[in-house]
Amino acid sequence: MSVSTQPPRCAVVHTPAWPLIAAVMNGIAGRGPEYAPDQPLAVLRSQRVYCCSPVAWRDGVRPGMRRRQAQGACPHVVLVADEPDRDARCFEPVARSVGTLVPLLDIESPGSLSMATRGPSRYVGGDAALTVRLADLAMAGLSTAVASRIDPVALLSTGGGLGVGVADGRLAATLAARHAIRRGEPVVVEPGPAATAAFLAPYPVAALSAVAGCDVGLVDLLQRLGLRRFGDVAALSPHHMVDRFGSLGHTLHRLVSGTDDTAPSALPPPPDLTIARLFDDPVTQFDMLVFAAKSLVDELGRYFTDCGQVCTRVRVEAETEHGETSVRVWHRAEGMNESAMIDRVRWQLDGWINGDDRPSAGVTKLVLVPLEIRGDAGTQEGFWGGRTAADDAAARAIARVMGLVGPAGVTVASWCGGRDPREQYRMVSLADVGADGATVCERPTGPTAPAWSGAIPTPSPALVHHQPVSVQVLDADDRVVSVSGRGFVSAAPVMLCREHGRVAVLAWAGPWPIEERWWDERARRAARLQLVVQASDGPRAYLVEVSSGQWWLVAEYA
Amino acid sequence: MSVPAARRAVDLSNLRGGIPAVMAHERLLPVHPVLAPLFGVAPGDPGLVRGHTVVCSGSAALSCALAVVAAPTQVGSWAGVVGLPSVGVSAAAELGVVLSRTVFVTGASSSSASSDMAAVISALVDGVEVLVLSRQVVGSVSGGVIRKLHTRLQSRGGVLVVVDDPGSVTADVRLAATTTMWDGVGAGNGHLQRRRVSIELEVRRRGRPTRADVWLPDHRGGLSMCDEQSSGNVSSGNVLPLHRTG
Repeated sequence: MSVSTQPPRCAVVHTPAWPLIAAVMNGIAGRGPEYAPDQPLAVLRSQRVYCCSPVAWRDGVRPGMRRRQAQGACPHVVLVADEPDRDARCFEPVARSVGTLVPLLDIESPGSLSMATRGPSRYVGGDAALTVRLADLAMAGLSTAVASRIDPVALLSTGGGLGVGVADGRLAATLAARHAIRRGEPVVVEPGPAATAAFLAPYPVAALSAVAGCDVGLVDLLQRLGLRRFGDVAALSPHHMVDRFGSLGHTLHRLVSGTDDTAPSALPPPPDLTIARLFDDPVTQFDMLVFAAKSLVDELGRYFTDCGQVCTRVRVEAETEHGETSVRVWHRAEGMNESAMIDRVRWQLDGWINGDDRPSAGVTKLVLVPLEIRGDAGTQEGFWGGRTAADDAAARAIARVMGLVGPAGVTVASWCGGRDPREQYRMVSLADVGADGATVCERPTGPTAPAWSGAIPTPSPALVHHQPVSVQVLDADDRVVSVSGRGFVSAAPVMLCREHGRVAVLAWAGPWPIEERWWDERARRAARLQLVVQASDGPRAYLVEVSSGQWWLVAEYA
Repeated sequence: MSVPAARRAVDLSNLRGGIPAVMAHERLLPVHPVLAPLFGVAPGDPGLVRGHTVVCSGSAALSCALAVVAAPTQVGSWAGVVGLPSVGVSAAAELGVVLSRTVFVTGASSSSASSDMAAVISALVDGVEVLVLSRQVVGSVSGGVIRKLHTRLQSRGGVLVVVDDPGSVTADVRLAATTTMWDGVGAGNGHLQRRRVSIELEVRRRGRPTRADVWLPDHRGGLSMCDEQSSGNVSSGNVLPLHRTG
């Protein structure tokens, strides 16, 4: 395991905010293609700013802001909805232009290309020459794609520029490309482990999640451990990293010290994994092609699921009746599940068939070749764990229901703890659980499970009012019972008034005061009582809460 | 063209010969061991007939419905809960419902029209084996939808659980759960510990109802049999009521 092979030398062409450029190229909806580069522009993803142009940044728009916040910071900002298909379609000319020099390209995402430099560098005469050629080609590809009214240089500056970097390994090359954008000229990192490590050392570990697809939680942990830069992590012994993080620590150490950019567990795919579909009738319709691709992807997905593996790099090939081909390699560091893979196939086919340089005949062959596989560390196992027939049927039905009521209406419960029955479980949309494989938390059980101090002991109420019902708790003299600051009731509760009538209290317990989060604006002071009342159909038990003199019915033991 | 009745009977019997005969009572889902005697089976044996509609009523209807849902989810069935946005998830977990296989559908409960609700229910019934509906949901869709749902359930082998009796569905199994007493609280002391519930189970066309007294929930939140030895106070030691001093 200690033998470290230097990763192959790589070049990366990177545009930090490609969605902005694609939006301008496509013509901003309602504003026509006449876009002035000094106009602030931002792309929204899930109702939050995903990326914004330098002008918008200067005016105070930041990624992660909500629509209103962004408009508040900069009233004349142009907001465009995110559309991955558009990004991929607009990127196709750039990829094609670069492809005239380097045919073997990996597309990481629309806006970012990587390639091995060994052949091309020797052809053009060195890494420095290659970077210049790559930048020129990318720019040429962009110029052919945009309308003549738009200046491609100004357009690029909208998206924060374009950077080319060459270094050992994909991670270092990507960081070099990002650095090149700031420097304004291509960056070439000297070959060799020492130079790569020296280049990587000053980068903050947050770049791991942005570039290498590491878990955000892991990066956060590293930062809290005081390991803020790549160099800090690389300075540790790999043995200590393995002790603390297991196999992940090993991967991490290799990443930050620049000795490898693929997981050590990466496996060569079996040679017969190529999956192809030949069409007897050439397919001209885009939808039918995607549908056919879906069955291929599903078949691959089933294979990977059975083996407990995940594909990180895939080549998609399509061929028409006239022999025209579209070949692209797609890479995603965190692995592609079925939906991510079908997205990439769709992007490629969309850019090809609906692009300017469209094929002249129908597609007769579609091939998917997995190029890099690694063991699935369990993140993809996710919610649909058991994979029985019942699970598959449920997944299909849930997808349908989600289409009917919207993703937020279909939820599962995830334990998050708390002393209030309303906050012990959080309802998580199944769309979120399914998409990124986030696991549903189970309540810890067993004798060692930590208990929430101040929580009501078991049994828990079977009916929890998330909107508490206003009630009155009265004493024998028909006065509202109050709870003092020291946690004493003013008198024994005798009567409970709801909007439809009053019931006699048979027994009561409490009060249990809670004083939560006194340090911030979510501060809450309340006291809770359990009441057993005499209802028409027998005794009923309630959990009531008093806060600022007002009683609320919080839960019922139905 | 009419086929003579005798001929038709022969055809049908030929057809039936090809299908392995599975009687309704052989297609069973598990039930909670405490509820098993009520269903007429030994504890641990499955007793909930697939395709049946279970209507829970009484003051402990919701807990009772959750107790019915618990056992099937533990063996891998999925449960769908529609129109019960305020169900206590902690209580469900304590009764043994496996939450990772329980889907809560809330979106269409209030805002959307009843046709949407019908679509949601019929989509969900294809995927889950236990479908829990509130009385309001059942009341909001037409009788035709409920009949179709019933047919679908029988062919899919699912079970419909209705919380609170809406009166409009034909129940195969009726569970009436009435609270007899709450245990554990006094006058300002103790805390709710367990509830004695009298459950009466009536299966359509199966003679007299069966009845049992259970703790639902018991002091751990689960469901347990209420025998005479344990009917005393669960708390050990003397509990003295708190008095205000000073």
